[in-house]
Amino acid sequence: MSESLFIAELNTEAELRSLMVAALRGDGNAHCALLKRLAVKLRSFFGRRLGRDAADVEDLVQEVLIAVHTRRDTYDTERPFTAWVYAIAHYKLTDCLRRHSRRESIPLDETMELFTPDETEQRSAQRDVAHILSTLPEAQQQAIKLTRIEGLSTAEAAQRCGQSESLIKVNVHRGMKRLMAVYATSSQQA
Amino acid sequence: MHTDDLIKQLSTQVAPVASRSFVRRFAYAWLTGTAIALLLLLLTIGVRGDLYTAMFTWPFWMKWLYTIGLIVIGGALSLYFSRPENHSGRVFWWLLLPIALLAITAVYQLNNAAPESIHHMWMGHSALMCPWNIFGVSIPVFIAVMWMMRRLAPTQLRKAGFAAGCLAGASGATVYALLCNESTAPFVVTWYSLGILLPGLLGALIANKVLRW
Repeated sequence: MSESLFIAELNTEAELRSLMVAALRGDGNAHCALLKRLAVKLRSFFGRRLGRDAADVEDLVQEVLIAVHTRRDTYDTERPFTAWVYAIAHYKLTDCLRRHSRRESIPLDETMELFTPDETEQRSAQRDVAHILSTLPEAQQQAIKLTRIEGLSTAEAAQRCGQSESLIKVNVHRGMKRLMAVYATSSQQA
Repeated sequence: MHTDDLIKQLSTQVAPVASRSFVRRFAYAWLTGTAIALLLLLLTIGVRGDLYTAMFTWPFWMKWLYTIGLIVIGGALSLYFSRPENHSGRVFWWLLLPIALLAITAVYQLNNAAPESIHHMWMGHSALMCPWNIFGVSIPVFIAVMWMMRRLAPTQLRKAGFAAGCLAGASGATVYALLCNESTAPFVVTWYSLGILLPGLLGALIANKVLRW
């Protein structure tokens, strides 16, 4: 595991655990924030394993959230929180698979997988970006790709694609504005 | 329901929960079951006539040390498997500790016994009834601890069921020891253990149906 991944995991653990500790003290906002963070993680975790069975995925997400809520007294604050949640998620997943009498066994040693950004997630995110970008005019696409995705400076980008520096800035600005608009409407529909 | 609505609903009333408070909940359930088992024994058959004098003798305490030791271990195992992240079955080896100690005592007693009394030391006068009696007495405890286990978060259902069943069996055996007047280690290590194992096996057998959550 790379060092940055490891640190990301530690941060996830520390952050979720402090939310959980606050929730156990009766802090409703922390509880809400925790469940929201978990819902995102769980959705991609179950999604990866159940494929396109979206209704099942959302059912499982909700079942785990309810379990985290109603069975939260079985969490020991001196132990890793992510391992506790993962065990519940894994249990609900195997239970679901058993219900569907698909007897697939899933090893339990991939404990931290729920909390590491995995390749499919990243790839599908990349696909989404590429797809939305392709709706923009060519010059804006290029400007955003060079500065925001490849990480070049405005000067370097200008050199690479032959637009002037100020044109690059304008194109990035307009393109991002348009992307935001597209993203906002598409997430409203979803 | 939409997941966001669910989260909102779950977050409106968040009662403070002490970490590990499930231990107390489980203890209450166990205590209730054991109290009912004791009450049923007192109301039906009653305790052995010489209980008071027996309480000052070694055989009585040998039985209680054994069964109470198994309660402690069975309770610890039940709590262990009522948490989702625990799954190692190796912890069951702890059960062998009191069994081994009593087995050593039994061997010692048999070695020192006259050959013609060995059969009686082993079988007593209630060998074939004893396991079933213990099983019967443990039923209220069995129901109580399985009911509570289901409300906690076991993910290894069979192991959790076995642990809870052994706890119920050991509790039933402790109560039954107030009635039973057998007094040898070979008897207890054989027939009591069997009586404790029965609810344990039942727990493991029905766990997937009963403990599912």
